[in-house]
Amino acid sequence: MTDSLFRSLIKDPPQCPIVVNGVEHQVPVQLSVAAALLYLGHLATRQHPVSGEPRAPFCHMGVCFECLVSIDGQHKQRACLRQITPYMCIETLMAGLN
Amino acid sequence: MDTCKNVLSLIPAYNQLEPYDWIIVGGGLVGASIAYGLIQKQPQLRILVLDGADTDHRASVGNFGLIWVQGKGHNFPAYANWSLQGADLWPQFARQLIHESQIDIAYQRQGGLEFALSQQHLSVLSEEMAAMAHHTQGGFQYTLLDRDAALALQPGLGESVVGAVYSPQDGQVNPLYLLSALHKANQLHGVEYQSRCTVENIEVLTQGFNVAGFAAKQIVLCAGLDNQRLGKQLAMHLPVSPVKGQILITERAAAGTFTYASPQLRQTAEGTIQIGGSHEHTGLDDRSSLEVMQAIADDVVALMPELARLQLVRSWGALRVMSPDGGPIYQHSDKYKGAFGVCCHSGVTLAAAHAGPLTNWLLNTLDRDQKILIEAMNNDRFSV
Repeated sequence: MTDSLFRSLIKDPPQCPIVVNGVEHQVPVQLSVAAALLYLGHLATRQHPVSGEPRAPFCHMGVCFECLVSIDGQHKQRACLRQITPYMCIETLMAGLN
Repeated sequence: MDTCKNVLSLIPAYNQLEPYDWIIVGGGLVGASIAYGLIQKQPQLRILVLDGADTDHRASVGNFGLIWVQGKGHNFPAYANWSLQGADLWPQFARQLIHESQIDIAYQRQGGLEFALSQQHLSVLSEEMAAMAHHTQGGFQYTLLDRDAALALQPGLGESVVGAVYSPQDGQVNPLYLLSALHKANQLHGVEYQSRCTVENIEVLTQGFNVAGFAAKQIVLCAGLDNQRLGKQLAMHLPVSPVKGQILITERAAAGTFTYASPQLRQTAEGTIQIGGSHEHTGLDDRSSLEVMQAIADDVVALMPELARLQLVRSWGALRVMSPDGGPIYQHSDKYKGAFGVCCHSGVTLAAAHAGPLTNWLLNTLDRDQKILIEAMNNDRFSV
């Protein structure tokens, strides 16, 4: 976690609750999961299975597979292709599973 | 095409009167390897590589990346010796290319496994390997493995694997980095390169050739499937046809998920599992198809059941450049001195041989035995 580098362009956007690694957060509605994670300051989504280095969303269009996370118990989901829903449970940095 | 000339004639250096020493038609692995070998042996040569368009059929950017000796030429002794020689030249070739290009091409010679799913298949493989060892006077090394021995080398094999052949002489490389490294090294050595230059016609001059507006003393056709068409213009019979292979790419997996090279699968340095091994005759249609993708995925899961947990992230089809017997064709034109044709479907395996002895053959600086070996792979074998 780090201070977020991203802000919403809309002033006081409607919020949606999501759960990231067991902690509940409020984020603007209609974000992709990848955008929501970046908004919250979760820069790294997964660990590379060979090098172990942390990886972050890169292409935001489903091609690079760097943003794999677990969503509601389903592993290896592309965070950039999924839109947040209320109380969606997202797990990042699950070595071997993401 | 004239368009190449029009673009290049704007650049003063290209308005040259002197013909090139060599024009290489085709900038895939075959053409790039030959340019690399020529310029290293005779740095004063002026060489121009003419490449096609990105949308052309490019075996060099669709292939699997094996440096594969096993079984190659079991019924064609010259090809068996040539493949082995090519694989043996690879370590030094890779060292030099990496040094010059500063591109890590992920070359590994960890050995290869060919799996057998029946005793009958294993005995066919056994005969082929024995023939190869015979053709190469024992140079080709291999071990026949029963199921337990195969499992000892590669844990996790499926129930249907009854055995395998292991050869320490097989290996693998990242073929895209290889192509990129060759072009970069060629550029550093002063080889000229022109992309998007489809060659329609080759004009025979009193001395030399005119290709797409460029004059050359000598010409090598390395245009893959287009060699058949272009060869006719230089009175060379270069019979090649497309054989499609489809490839599946998985997400990254932990290193060591699969250790060896094999025709059905390999793991790249980045962790990706590459799945392939299909052969289809579909003309110039290089699209992937669900049916074949399912079949090769099923095959690989039978070999390594735990791969079923991996997601696929990409797939593509590519066209192999295949001669009637699968071997390479090295041809010079009897009618037009200085014209050569090189056809093969093993641009990766043979890259070091093409940069090495084959360029000596083109330069006519080869010793007698090597000359005989290479000329045993000319098109005479297709004449009845």
